[in-house]
Amino acid sequence: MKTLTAVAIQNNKKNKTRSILIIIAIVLTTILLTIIANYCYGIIKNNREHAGDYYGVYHGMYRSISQEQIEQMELRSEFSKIGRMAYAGEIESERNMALYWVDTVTMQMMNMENLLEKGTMPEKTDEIIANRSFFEQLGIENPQVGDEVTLYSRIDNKSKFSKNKFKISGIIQEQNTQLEQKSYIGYVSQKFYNDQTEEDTRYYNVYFQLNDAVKINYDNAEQFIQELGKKCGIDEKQTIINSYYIMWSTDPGIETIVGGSILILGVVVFSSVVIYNIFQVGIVQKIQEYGKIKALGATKKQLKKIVQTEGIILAFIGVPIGLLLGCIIGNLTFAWIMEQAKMVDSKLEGTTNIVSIPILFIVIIIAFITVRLALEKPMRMVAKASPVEAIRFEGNKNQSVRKGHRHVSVKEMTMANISANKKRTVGTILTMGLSCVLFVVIANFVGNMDAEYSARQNIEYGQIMIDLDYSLSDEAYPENNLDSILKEDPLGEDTIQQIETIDGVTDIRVRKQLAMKTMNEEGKPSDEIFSVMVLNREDFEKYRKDSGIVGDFTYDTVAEENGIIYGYSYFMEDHDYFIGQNLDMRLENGASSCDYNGTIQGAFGNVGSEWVITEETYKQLGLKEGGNGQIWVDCKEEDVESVKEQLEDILLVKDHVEINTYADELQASQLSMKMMRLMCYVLVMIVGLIGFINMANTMIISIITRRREFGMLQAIGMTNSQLNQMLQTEGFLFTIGTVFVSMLIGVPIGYGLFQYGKEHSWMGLYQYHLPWMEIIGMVIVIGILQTILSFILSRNIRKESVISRIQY
Amino acid sequence: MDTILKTEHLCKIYGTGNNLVNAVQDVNLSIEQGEFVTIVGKSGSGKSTLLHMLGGLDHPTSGSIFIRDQNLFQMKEEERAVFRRRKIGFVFQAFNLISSINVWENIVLPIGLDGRQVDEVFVEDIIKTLGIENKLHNLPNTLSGGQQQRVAIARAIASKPDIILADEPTGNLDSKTSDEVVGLLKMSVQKYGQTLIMITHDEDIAQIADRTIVIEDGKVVR
Repeated sequence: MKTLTAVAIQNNKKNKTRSILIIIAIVLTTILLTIIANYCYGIIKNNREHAGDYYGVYHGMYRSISQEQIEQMELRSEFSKIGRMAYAGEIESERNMALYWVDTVTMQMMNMENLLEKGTMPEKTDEIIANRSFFEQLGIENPQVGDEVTLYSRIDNKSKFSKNKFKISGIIQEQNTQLEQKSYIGYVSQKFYNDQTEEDTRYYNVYFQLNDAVKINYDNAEQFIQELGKKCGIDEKQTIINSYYIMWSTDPGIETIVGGSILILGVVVFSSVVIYNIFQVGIVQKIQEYGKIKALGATKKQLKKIVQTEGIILAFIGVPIGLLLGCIIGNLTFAWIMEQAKMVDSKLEGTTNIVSIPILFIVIIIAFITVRLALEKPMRMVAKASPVEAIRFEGNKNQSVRKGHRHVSVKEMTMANISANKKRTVGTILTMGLSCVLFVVIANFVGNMDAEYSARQNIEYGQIMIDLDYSLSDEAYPENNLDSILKEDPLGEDTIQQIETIDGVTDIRVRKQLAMKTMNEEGKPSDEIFSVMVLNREDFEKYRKDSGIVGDFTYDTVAEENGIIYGYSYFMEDHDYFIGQNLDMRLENGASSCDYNGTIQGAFGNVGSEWVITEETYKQLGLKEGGNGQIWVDCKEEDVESVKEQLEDILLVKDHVEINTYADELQASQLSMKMMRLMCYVLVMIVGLIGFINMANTMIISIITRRREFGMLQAIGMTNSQLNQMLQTEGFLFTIGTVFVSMLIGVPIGYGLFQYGKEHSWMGLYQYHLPWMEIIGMVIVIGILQTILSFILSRNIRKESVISRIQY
Repeated sequence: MDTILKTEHLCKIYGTGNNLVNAVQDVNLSIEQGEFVTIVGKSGSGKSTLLHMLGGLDHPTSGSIFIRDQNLFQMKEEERAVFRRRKIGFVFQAFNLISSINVWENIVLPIGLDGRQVDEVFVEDIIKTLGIENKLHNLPNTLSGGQQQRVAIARAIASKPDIILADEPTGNLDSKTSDEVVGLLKMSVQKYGQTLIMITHDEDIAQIADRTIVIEDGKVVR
């Protein structure tokens, strides 16, 4: 075996160019594999971490349960963590303000410890923590730790408000910079809570984490948690599951893994073809040498072993380099992306380390598999090598005559060369072209992302949008649900009148939003809430022109039959809705309610509300005035800031509203598109590089093998500049062919991807245009690389005297 | 008669130290126009190196070569390439035809590279003389050795060079074909008034030459 390894090492050393090219190809492949794997890992890891950040690290909560029930829970091994939270009273205020006590376990589960900006958690009876807006509501401007607060609170509706003095022991971060403050909550100590309540009247909301050994998934979690509750004497009505957390934490990231695996498979196939190509061309050239080794007595198996060792040695050099570079590039770009993402969403805690040792091991294995796959055919070929075989790499064995030209010069010579080596030419153009196909496809997608369109999808009119910030299923805080908010009517007539008085406001548009409830068997509305948007003719038709429409309907057909349209066609089937289905519902606009009976006529692609009815239908419902869901305010661009400030002043006293400006929205979508582009182009560039390595190899090999021919041509009078010209023309033709192939295949696929993406409302895909700029850029890059390569190669070849080349 | 080719103290050394080889040592030659000169010598005696230097394919270590009083190695590389394709025709032992183009294209290629128009009457005359008129569309690989060498000779003559340098043109041919090829070569150069310098091992060929130069260990001995 040692001899074989030695031969393999010598072969690698002797074919230096080939070895270097293969190492580069392996390095690039490994970089690509590492980046893809690390990104997938990073995304999954981030999603899990953020699931906790956003929704709290707990599986569920049992509402108002007693100390005995908690003790029951503590006996069960299914719970790994149990934390308590208790209602410590309502504060006298125009707003929803309340006091709660939470224990440290709950604080951890709700990420409150991380949110503590200054100070410490409340321990003494008179200590309190809350965010700034809470204290501001109590009339304390610029609250500081140590400041005193006086408030009036009561433990239940039966009691009277009593005066309480507190000292601020800590300040919690504002969770959102927007005005969407949902409820104002102050957190007090257990001592305060105990002082307020009798022992037998103490009820707790208990947050819990389940043991890792408990196998739950998104589908069975609710039932499991309800049954677990029953075992502790807790009614299922008291059970609330943290479905978002369960969804993210139990989701292994299948979509990401599938996407990543497809990419990796693509890379493996592509790279192994490239590495195979480099090997193959080199081996055809050296087949005689392998023949000699065979003549000396090597068996087929030994010959295969030599080739395999050659490849594996190169992989041993290339894979670690690629792994290192891949980790560096992957981490840097991922960190940058997270950095950018934080600018958009301040709550994101970025994971910067996306390297996982087990995943790197998998990458190593895949990289080696790629190399081994590439070696398969060369190995078989070498094994077949006959000791006396003398194969000339070139040569047109099948052709015996050629029509030819009467006059022959550089141009004719080049064309003759290309047509004589059709297979090689087509092979190179195809591999080079296919790597550019990916670029063209991605350019078709990335180049068509329209930030303005994307921003306008969110802010449909004007410069500023005010809309309701509502939930549909908040059981813990039902006041956050749409039906309750509509009753408050924060965007009602008085608000609109106030907005009209703002200087600089040029136009106001209002859209109605209703809450829809299903009817139970007794004919009463259930707790299940849906949002319903009321669209006028103009908006309705605008949405109808977007893609992803299901069903055949117009504003008029829907208005005539008082029909209803589903808001997200993609999810229609998931929710068991179908066209022609009759809905029997109750509609509420806060001011009044009515029964509604209508037929589903179809679905929009994506409108941001579950259901849509027409303005005509709304009028016929005969509801009292109310139910304003969205307000768009237009003004001159230079007035946006001042108008927004005044709007914020007006809305300061309103709960559950949020303000967004078109400018912010535009900036956010530009930023996310920038990130998307970076990710896409990093991958494409590396794929392109691998493709280029392949092209470089083909050119180098073709020049090396034709060294003699070039010598002959020079001996009979070809000058250096003519030789150069010939190689440049050849390269130019490769470039043209490459571009042609990539356009021919890439543009249709890219267009298909665009259409698919548009239907699925991917980021800002609206109007298709051929990504000329990107394609021209690609052509220039290929052209430049090609020219440089031809130049270097022809210079390199000239170093040798003509005669030594002929005698080669 | 005019001297068409002259060398002065021509030397070629390969390698250094222990590996130093004096391939050609102080060769002074003078060849007249229209002369048929053969160079003979043992394998490794330096005759090929000498011929390659005479044709500008290889650089001498020292000394000069004059073709019609023009110093070949004082020209720039590009100039020398142009000069070579106009003044010198080569015939190699291994034929050295370009595999991707047909016989006619091989023959006219040097003229095309020089940017000249092909004198078709002249080229067709050569082709007829050499008896390859039926093979013009064939690719070189489909021809026999003798046929390939005829194509190479046609190529050397077609661009109307002053000198034809032939490096063992019959080395790969059987004796019958070999006689034919030499006969054709001699006839052609006579017909078109060219000078022929040929390396050979073959005593018979050497005997039909106007002059024979013998080389031993890189030195002209006779």
